[in-house]
Amino acid sequence: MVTNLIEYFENTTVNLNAEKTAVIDNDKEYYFKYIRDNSKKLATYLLFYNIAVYNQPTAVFLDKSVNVFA
Amino acid sequence: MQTNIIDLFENNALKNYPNKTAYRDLKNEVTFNNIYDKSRRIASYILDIKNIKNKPIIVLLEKGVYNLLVFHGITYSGNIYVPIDITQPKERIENIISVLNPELAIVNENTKEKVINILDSEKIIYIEDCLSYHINEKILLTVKQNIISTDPLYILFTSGSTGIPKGVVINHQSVLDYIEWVYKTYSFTYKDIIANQAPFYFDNSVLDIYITLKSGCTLYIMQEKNFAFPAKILEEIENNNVTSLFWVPSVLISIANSMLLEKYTYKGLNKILFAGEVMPNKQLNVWRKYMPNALFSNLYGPTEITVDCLYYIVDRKFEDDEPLPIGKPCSNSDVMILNDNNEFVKDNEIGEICVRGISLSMGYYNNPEKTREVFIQNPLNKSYPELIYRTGDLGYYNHYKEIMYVGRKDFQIKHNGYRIELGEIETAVSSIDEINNLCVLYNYSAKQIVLFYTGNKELDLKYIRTKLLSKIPKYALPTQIFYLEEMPLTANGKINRQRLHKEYIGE
Repeated sequence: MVTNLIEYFENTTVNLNAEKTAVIDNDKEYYFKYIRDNSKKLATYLLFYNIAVYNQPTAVFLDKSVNVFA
Repeated sequence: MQTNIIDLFENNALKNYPNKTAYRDLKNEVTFNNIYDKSRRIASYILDIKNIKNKPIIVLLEKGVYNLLVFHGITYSGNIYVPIDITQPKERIENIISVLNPELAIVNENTKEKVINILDSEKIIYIEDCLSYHINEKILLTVKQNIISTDPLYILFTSGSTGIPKGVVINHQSVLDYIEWVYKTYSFTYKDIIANQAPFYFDNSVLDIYITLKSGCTLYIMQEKNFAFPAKILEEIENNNVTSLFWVPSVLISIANSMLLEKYTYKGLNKILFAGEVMPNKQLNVWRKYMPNALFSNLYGPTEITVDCLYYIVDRKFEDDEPLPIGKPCSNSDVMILNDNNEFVKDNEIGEICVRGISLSMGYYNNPEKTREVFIQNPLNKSYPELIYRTGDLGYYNHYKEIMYVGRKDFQIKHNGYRIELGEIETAVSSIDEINNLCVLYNYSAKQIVLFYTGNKELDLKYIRTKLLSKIPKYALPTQIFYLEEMPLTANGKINRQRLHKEYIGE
């Protein structure tokens, strides 16, 4: 049973379609694995520097772009 | 996506193994196809006589295959099944009925007298009438499409401290989630044969019933009368090619103490799970010695969190007097141990085991006060509504980061100024070779720590105290002992502490 969105993303999308286009932003195509890898990098950064705390909100101030997904 | 138990059944066992035996008892046997047919007849009958949804329907039947067909029939009708122990006093059945105000009771000729003067006759229906009823496809389809995952599936009654039983409401989603976890963790397959010990009004049976509908395995319902005789239990396991058990420790303890495992040649058991009480390593080590290839797993959870929320698969050696961990949270459950200030405990600090997640019961039926007492807002989250369940059990983390069970909060006593866990004394006593089974209670008026035990011979208090001195502090040593020929057990198979209290302590 899928219990969270990470499992859903990884099991149903990334593992099957890692090199398929997930987002087109300003005419540039980004694969699912790009989103996965960059999400993990961001998560590692937040956790390493104790910026994000478990189950606490993190505000996102970014222009609308593929990086919002990551 | 599965939203209810009907989906679980129809998309798994029914689809993959329609003609395979699903449930079997001494007299009867049904395939998954039979379940599909009979339970929909029962559902059609219920819906034709009453247009009800999400209402409790009590089931008063002898333990067996038909009991399960009725549960599934009630589920297909979109209502809530409530198994009732037919051996309990009529007064308690009256109490349960007064809490529930059930729409219907399903009985047979033998059990009807339990409700005949309590419920109106139009509320009492007979299983024989339901089983032969015609299937109303149209209405069943509508009902199935309208069951959502948070609709209640069953209500199980636990004893309440005020004498009024509490009905724990569990929904479809909690059971779906639990069964998916059981399926993945213990790798049940259609080849398994599970021997059921737990009465259907005890939540250990939920694993037995629904893993069958998920995996396509066979559930064999053991003869209740055999549980008093270890030799007969082992014979029944062998004769039915049983592969898996999920039993209360008391039964496993009595088998280990009987020394029969030494000569037991049947090696078909591959999964031995237990929950409901503390499993002493002394007896578990006997099982492990003679069943070296079986998987042993200690599970923990009160009825209020859908069977289990913690588990430990035995993976290392334990001395006889060591306690067994209750382990780590099952998937999609979070277990927090909180101290008296509602903060996370530090390593080795004892606190109350609290649970959050989808496994939580919806509360106690028609009892908002008791519900509010134990299903509370997570004290560590002030930002959005999130309930946790306070189990009333104490635990701590060992150095493997596994949770260790200490005992009930109510079993924590203050004796001569010392705070003592009765469970800790029980673990220490269990290592004494001559003692087979035991229980420790506290006599508040006489201020005595009272030990009840069974074994090959009667021991004197001084001998027991001397043996225990190396394991527990002097102030925690038992001050009174009772040698028993046999340990009294409840209908669930657990040690009957209430009866011991009443008969020997009198409080």
